[in-house]
Amino acid sequence: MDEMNDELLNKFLDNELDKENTQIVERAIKNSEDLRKRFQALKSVHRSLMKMKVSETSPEFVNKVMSRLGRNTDFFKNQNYFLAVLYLIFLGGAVFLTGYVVYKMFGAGTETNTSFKIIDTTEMQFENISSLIKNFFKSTNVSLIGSILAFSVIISAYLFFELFKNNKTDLNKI
Amino acid sequence: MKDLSDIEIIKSVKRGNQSDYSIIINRYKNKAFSLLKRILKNEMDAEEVLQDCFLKAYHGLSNFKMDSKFSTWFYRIVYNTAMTKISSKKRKIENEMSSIDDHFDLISDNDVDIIDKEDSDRLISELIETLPEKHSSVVTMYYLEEMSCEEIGTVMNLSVSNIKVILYRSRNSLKDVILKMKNSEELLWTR
Repeated sequence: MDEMNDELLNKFLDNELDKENTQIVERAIKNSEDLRKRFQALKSVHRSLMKMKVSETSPEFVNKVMSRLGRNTDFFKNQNYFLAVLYLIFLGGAVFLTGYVVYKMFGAGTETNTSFKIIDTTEMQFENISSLIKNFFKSTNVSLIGSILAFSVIISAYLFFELFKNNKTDLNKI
Repeated sequence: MKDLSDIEIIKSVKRGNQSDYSIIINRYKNKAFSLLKRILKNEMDAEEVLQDCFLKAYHGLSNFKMDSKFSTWFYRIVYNTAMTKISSKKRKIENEMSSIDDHFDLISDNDVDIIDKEDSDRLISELIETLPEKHSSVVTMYYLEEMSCEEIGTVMNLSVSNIKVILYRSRNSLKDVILKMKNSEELLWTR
């Protein structure tokens, strides 16, 4: 019953009761000193809460956030440049390879003027490339390639860890 | 520029004017800080979490729907980040105890003498920080941020009726403190 009354008092305070219930609560408050006191206390809490003051952040707060934002944006920009450079290297390689094959094809064509020759030369070029790849991955070379790859992975991981550590230290300095 | 609405500023930020984001920060920093301070009960943690919240909001602006209120969306980030911080501090058990069905005593009978000497407005403000996280969040958002129960419900992912129950319980427990004061009669009728 007490809980119910408190709920009703809260709703009454917030003007959430219909006309009938509002009148019931008004009458009850008028007739009961205890209820009047409780409602007055509730009103007092409500007033105090309305006067609640806003706490302020440190004066340099905005600058801190903006500088962190700038650093993050720079990091993403640098990451994008790195990816763009990688993309350009691969693109350059692909263009060079295509150019080389096309040059060989047309070079063969001018020499003999027959389409069979062009096809033969192209086949030859592809055979050369495939044999080169086969030789490169011979069992004796695989262990060497594997070692080089593993070494590069370890070095890259170490460099990445150092980069991450430095970034974290820089962020903590802000 | 400072008279612009949140949405207009966000549009400008999205167009690449990063510096305009400082207007949003200035607009919300103190109120969000007050909320975080009451949830985390620690000023340093509150400021650190608030920085993260502004960064999260900035990087998540692409997910923000322009037809909703920025404040509600931002306070959702603030509230969730604060809850994550609490969990990471292994205060989950304490957090669970603050469910709306739990009862809590803000003050024991022994403290009444001390409270008797305090100014009641300041005392109420201090007592909010002793409320469980959910309760202090609702009270702060309702009174300080002047948010509706619907908005608070959206922020905290709770129904409007649950928000009202939490609000009423918080007020009732604060009311009980006032009633316990030795000079309560004097306080109530002179206000």
